[in-house]
Amino acid sequence: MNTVTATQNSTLGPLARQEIRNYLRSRLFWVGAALLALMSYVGLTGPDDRFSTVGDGLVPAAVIGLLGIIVMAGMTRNSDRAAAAAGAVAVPQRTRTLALASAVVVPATAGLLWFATAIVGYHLHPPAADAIPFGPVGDGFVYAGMFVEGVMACIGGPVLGLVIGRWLPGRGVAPVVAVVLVPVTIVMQPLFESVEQWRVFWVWVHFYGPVGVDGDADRAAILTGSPYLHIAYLAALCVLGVLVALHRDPESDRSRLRTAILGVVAVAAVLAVLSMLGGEDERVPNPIPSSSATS
Amino acid sequence: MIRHAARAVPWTRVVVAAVLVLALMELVRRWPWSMWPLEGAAVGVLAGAAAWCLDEPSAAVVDAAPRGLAWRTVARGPAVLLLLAVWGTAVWWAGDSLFGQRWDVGLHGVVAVAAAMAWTSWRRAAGAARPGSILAVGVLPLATAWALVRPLEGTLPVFPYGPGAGAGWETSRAGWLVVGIGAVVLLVATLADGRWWPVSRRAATWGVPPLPPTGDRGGQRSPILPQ
Repeated sequence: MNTVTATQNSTLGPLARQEIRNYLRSRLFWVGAALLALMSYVGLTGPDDRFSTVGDGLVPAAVIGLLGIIVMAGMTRNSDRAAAAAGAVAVPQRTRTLALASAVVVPATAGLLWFATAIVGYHLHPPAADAIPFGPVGDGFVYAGMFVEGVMACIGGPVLGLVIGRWLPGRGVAPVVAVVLVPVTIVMQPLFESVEQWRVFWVWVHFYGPVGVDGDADRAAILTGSPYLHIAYLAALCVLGVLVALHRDPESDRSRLRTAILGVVAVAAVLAVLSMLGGEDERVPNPIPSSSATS
Repeated sequence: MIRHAARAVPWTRVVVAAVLVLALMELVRRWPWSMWPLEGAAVGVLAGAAAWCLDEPSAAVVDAAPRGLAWRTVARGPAVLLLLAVWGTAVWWAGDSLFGQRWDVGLHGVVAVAAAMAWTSWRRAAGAARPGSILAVGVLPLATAWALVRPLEGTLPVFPYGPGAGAGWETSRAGWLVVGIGAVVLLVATLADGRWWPVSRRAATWGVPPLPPTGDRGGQRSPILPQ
């Protein structure tokens, strides 16, 4: 280990702790965390009568993941400002980027806490027979679906914010990206059956829900694809995001980074295809009609 | 005043926001049941853009200039009016797709703009140069997240979902009206320069270091407080 690498490694630890503290100091994070705590309490005490907590993944995705884009983009700007103020002896951008990426542990922990409460709520107040799970899938499938929608969004949002902060540091970019992300994600849930198979290439998609069938608009169904492999795909995207953020540093070894990026892109593409081909081949509706169809 | 508006308003951002509002509301018009959270996002965009219009990066210079905050705020009015016109057009165009609550949805946007203007003007009066961009960065994702999650939907329906009284439109209307009235009062009080408020209180409340007694200022004028 040469002296420069040793110095960078010794800097990374304290800097990462500092960035974690910075994330914990974000008011936007705490607003989201308060909303998440409130909704987790509702999930534990009185969740949806029909679906229990299986559809609550949207909550951490919105209040931690979506807001995490803004928080992390802002932290990246602050880090750059501090480095510029420090002058020529500042820590390299690569180390600062890694330290910022370490701060993702904060929203990830919030997401995992929500996940734990959602599973407890799911068992305390099991879903109705006309909801999810049923037939070919069990509890594990539901857990994986909730993990995709909730926890992975809590990690992916801030990583996206890091990429935005590095490549598009303008102050208005991150909020606009956060808003644009919402309609695209709604379309990919899927809003149209024609995109159902391909939706797994997008992020934070549903694998079940009250998507309806002819004559029963509220019928629950299992959608195509494998949520287990989708978790691996999203993890690969998060790694890719960190690498792309690191690639912004003009002093980094870009040729090695490019090779690593191409490798992760290939792995992510394979995982996305496997996620599309795994699981159910076609939509499987619950054989039990929804209460709105029977009433 | 026109020259001031042309140079002071971030027109590119205003136009981007206007286009974004139109796009979001068009999606709501086409698929209201699926895309309804975008109504909240559009309201957030409106509030953020209106706030950003009132930022004054050169606060240290303009606060000491003869033109007061009220004049400068009025001069930026065309940008806010443009945003409101776009909002009105989008809501009118969406028509019955808004669960039959066109006026309520319109109220959301108007109150959001008023509240954003009031808060930003108040912070500007306190000496902050760019409070609007800070507000925009927070309010835009928060409004979107709130519209997606709809927490406390039964007791605090900010962006009601669905037609009929059960969705909480009346409660929501009352809440928005209260916020709107409060925003107008704050905006008027701020732009009127608040000469009736004790200087020491303003300084303490707004985080501005209190000025020494008039005799000790050495001829220095406050860039913020009325002389």
